Amino acid sequence: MEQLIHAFGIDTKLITVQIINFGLLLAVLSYFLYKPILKVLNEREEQIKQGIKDAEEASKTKAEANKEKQIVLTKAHDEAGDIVKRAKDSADQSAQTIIEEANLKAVTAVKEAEKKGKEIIEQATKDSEAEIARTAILAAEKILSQKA
Amino acid sequence: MLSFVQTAQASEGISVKLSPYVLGEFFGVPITATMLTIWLAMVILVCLAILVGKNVRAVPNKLQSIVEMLIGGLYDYTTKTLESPELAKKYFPVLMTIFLFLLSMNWVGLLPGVASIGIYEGHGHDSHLIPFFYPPATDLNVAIAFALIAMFVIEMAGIVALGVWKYGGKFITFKGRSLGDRLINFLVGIIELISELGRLVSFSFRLFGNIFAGKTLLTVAIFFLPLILPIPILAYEMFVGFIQAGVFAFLTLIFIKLAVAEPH
Repeated sequence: MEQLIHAFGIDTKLITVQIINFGLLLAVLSYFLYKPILKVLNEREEQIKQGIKDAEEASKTKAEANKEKQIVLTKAHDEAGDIVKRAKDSADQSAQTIIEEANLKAVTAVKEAEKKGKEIIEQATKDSEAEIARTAILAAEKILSQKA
Repeated sequence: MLSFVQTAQASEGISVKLSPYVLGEFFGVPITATMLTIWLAMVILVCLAILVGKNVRAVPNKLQSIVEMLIGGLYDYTTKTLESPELAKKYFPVLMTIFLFLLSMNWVGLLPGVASIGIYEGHGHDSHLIPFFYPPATDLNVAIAFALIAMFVIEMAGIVALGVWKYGGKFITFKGRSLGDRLINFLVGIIELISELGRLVSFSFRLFGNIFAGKTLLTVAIFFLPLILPIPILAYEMFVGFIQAGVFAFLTLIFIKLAVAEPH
């Protein structure tokens, strides 16, 4: 056994120093490397989780907004239809009134025109009767003067 | 084993030594080439750690991304294996340090100049090189130190999770319905205890054996065909250094998992 220990150069002092080395390195690496790296990894994980949560919330809000938009749009569409219908009705009514008035006016105008036409014809007949009489008298005068 | 080492040293000039090269002494502690190499690996590792750790950004650069992938990936794996975030938080630093420390010392051990720069000792026919740096895991002291650390962490994990009596009851037990039952359970406990202690040997010699074999293979390859042959072997040894570091940390993790499990 002793020979074996001598052959391998086993020395408890060296083993102790190596264990101290390990302890030192463990402390230094834990403080300078593992702690900050694990911290930043943890923080990043938290951030990603928060990001995913935010995105989920945003998409939920968006879906809600879309739903609301659909409702508002439908309502607006219905209202617009109503308004158009009412406008059309009112326009139809107005048009009817206008047409009726126009018809009335047209009928009156025609009647007046007929009346005037008759008057003109009467006047003309009267005028021409007088003319004819005068012409006849002239012609008679002419014939009498020739015979005389 | 000893006679082989001596003949190898004496005959051809390929020197294969099982014990570490001693460069000097400091307060009674021998300073070995492997210890110097470990300190070099530690300095490199600490510099890198501070460089990355002090400049941590929410949006990582390339170096930080690699380190994040390594640390974050292994942390997740530890959590999944131990099935408990608390246990993972407790044991992750030890596991990660085992891996990083072994990886860095194995890779530093492959750098040019390691095992080839040193001073000649002795005169004439007896003179041989004492290198300043030498692959650390070829020193059984280093492997034993790691095995002791791993065993300590594993046993402490068991005791902290279950308590001394319950954890001890896994190994020394007289429970059972009949006398035969009791005897069998007692013997199974003793076998468990022996296999637990056997891990110390398997942990240390697996690491030592792999890296020592790699170093010896490289030495032989350099002796026979110095220009081309060592290149694929070096690449392979980089892989082995990575695997051995991973295996050591992975086995420690698995044994912690076994230690914290309730006895049945």
